[in-house]
Amino acid sequence: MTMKTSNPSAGALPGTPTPGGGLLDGARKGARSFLPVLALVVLFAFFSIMRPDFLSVASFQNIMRQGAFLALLALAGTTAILTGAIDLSVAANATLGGILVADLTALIGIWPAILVALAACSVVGLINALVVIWLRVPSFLVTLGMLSVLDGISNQISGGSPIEFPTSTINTLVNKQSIPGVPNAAVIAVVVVILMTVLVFLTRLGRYVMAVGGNERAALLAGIPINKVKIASFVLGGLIAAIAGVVFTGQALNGVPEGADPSLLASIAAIVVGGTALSGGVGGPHRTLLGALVIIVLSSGMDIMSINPYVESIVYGLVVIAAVAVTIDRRRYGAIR
Amino acid sequence: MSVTDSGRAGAGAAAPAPAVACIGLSKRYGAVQALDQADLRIDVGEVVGLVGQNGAGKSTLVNILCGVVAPDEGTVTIHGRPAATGHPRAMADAGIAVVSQEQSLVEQLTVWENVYLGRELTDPHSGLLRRVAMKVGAAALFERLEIGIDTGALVSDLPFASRQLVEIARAIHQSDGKSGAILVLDEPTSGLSPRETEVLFNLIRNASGDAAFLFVSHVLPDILSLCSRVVVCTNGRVVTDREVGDVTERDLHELMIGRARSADYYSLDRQGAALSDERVLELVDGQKAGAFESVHLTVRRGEVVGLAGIIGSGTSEVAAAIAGALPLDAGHMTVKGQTRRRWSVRDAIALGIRYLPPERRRDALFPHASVSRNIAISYLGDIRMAKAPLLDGSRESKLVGRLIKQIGLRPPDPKRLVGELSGGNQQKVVFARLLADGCAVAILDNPTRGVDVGTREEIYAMVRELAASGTGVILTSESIEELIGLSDRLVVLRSGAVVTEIPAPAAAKPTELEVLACM
Repeated sequence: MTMKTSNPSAGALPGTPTPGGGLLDGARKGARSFLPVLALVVLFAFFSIMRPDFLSVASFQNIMRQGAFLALLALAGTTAILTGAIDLSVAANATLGGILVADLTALIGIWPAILVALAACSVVGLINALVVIWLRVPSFLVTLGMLSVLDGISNQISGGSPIEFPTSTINTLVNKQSIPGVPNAAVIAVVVVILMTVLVFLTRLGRYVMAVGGNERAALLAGIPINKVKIASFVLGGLIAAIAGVVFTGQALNGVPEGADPSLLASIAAIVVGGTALSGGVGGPHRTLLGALVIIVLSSGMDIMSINPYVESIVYGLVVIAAVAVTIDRRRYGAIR
Repeated sequence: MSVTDSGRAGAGAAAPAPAVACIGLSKRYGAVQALDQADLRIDVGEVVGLVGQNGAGKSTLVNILCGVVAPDEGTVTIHGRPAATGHPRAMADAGIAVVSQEQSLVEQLTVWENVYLGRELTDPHSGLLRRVAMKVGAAALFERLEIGIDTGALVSDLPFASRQLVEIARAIHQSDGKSGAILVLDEPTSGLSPRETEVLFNLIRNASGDAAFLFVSHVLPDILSLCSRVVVCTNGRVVTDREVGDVTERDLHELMIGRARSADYYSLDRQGAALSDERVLELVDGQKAGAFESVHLTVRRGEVVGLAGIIGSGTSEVAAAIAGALPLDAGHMTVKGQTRRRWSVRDAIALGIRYLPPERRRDALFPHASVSRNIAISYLGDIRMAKAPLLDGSRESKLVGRLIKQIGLRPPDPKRLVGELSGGNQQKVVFARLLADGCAVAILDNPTRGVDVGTREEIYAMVRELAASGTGVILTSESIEELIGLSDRLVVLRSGAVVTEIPAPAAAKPTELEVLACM
């Protein structure tokens, strides 16, 4: 760390216009709070008009089921992104959690199996954080590597094929409608969103997370223990990834190797569409829920209109790029750690 | 503008167009007029010195010349042709090269490869590189300039001083065959030994026949020994342009200072000196390689201690070290009876030390967060709910509301995003982080940098208030005038060592000349 100030005019003067900011700056501000809601309304209206059966009970239940899983997976990725990092291993981590539950239920019972999954996925988050901190490797590379490692482990455990296991308890846990019409998975997702939102906005740790994402150097100089904050954000992400994995396995009623993996891009799309900036420090878990709903409405709408799944994939990709373009802070372009 | 210029060239038919002519350059950053109608002219064969205090406009002028900054007003002509200001590439193509502390050589290449970088000689038929021709050319260039460096050496193997020479040689080479190089040397001697400096000066003298030099430096003796003419900047204006033979170091000091100090401005009537002899902080034998050594510093209750010194003298580094942002290699610190050898920013905060870092955008602000969040980040322990481990919104808004009133934030809106505030208001927000809990020591590193005049006065008042409440204040500033005005005592650093201490009570302030003479 150098404190040299050899060029006093650089970076120190106020009101310096930022190149390339202008138009998108203003657009971004409004876009963050307004666009996700607008997108949700427009998509809903569009699909309802195109296909009236989009408004059926079955369609809503489908949205809740899929939305619950996607929201949880996206929430798992949100904490890291709020600190300005990114966790690309969340989906593979969720897969591992799901596989562990499927593999261990017959052995030790469903609840201990879930505990093991929660612990294992949290440890994965811890390892991600420690590598990022100690080896100073950008988080997207660390977690990209971890993604591959976790897939290997999941396939090793499952032997590469779905794991059958006694599913009555997990079926009740995830799919029963304790509130009529609402699957438990959706209730779990909503509870996690509420807890996370309280954590991010009403606790000291939450403020620290936003501060590290907002300006890591300023956070350090304000006396914030930035390494602990990073560790907490990744471990929490791992923990929620495990919950997402349990929900996935409960919905599939099978332990599926690489099962949650294809949802990685959709989960990142949900985070950024909700208005959380990949550059960190802006957004929050409540926005991720909104973003997940947008993505799921989009996907089930396309399903109902029988749009080719390959086209769906193209749409996701474009949505991610567009959403990132609208939300990212260009003054720190390339600053994703 | 170009009309007057061509008119001037026409009048002296024998005289060639000046290498560089800047006319009426102005540049404004928010509330700060960094450059105000500045003129500058350098002829081929001249070495012109550019001096001025920090913030006087030197850097802005240099940045305009190398195309990094576009002026709001004014023109630059290079060898008689209007230059495309604000375009680094165009300025470089016109012949301007900058040699600064941040070198632009490619370390993995040899000296001759660097000399020809971007302008490689190629065989017209095969398109292959003419390596031999380039090697020979580079060797000849170095012989002509009397640089004793092997042109086949890897740049990464050369010491810093030699790289500076290579940079200059490259700049001269790349403008050979055109109307002559214009080299802007930005503090080129800092980090060089006297011997290395002499080698550098010889090179400049050897090369000055077919090049023009602008030599920017804080080191006045260097300016006087090397330059033929010296230009002084004050408050964004070029106030003097004189032959070196006419001026002394003392003249330059006086010219750099510019205006008289006002007692009201610094609230001298409220300057109280130390409240007691009780030492709130003592730094003993503080040492940090490459920054400072055996620095001894004491601060008493309610005392304002100013750290004076030019850039690179270690003032900012000492401030950062006390704040815990720069761990010491040796030495220790005692705060309120507790001694520490190594401490983090967190430890320092626990000891009652608060730090206002030098560059608020880089070091202190969370631009996308609200004023309230930015202030509360330092008081999260104070705004907790009594019975739950959660933050209490009403306590937060009460505390922040009180602080916003105290710092005079305009508009007093806690929800506004900090990134949208003016520089002065941003700095007030950072100040609010040290006001609420009666800290033992406040370290203010350049608290008025990039801040408008009105806010400056308010900040001075806040410094007085802090001191009156018993906080010991450590202060650095780019303005010596400000440092003298605010401090009870000045500690002068030169090359990382304390050279003297100067008392500065309200009734008997030292003059800027006295302080400058020690720096």
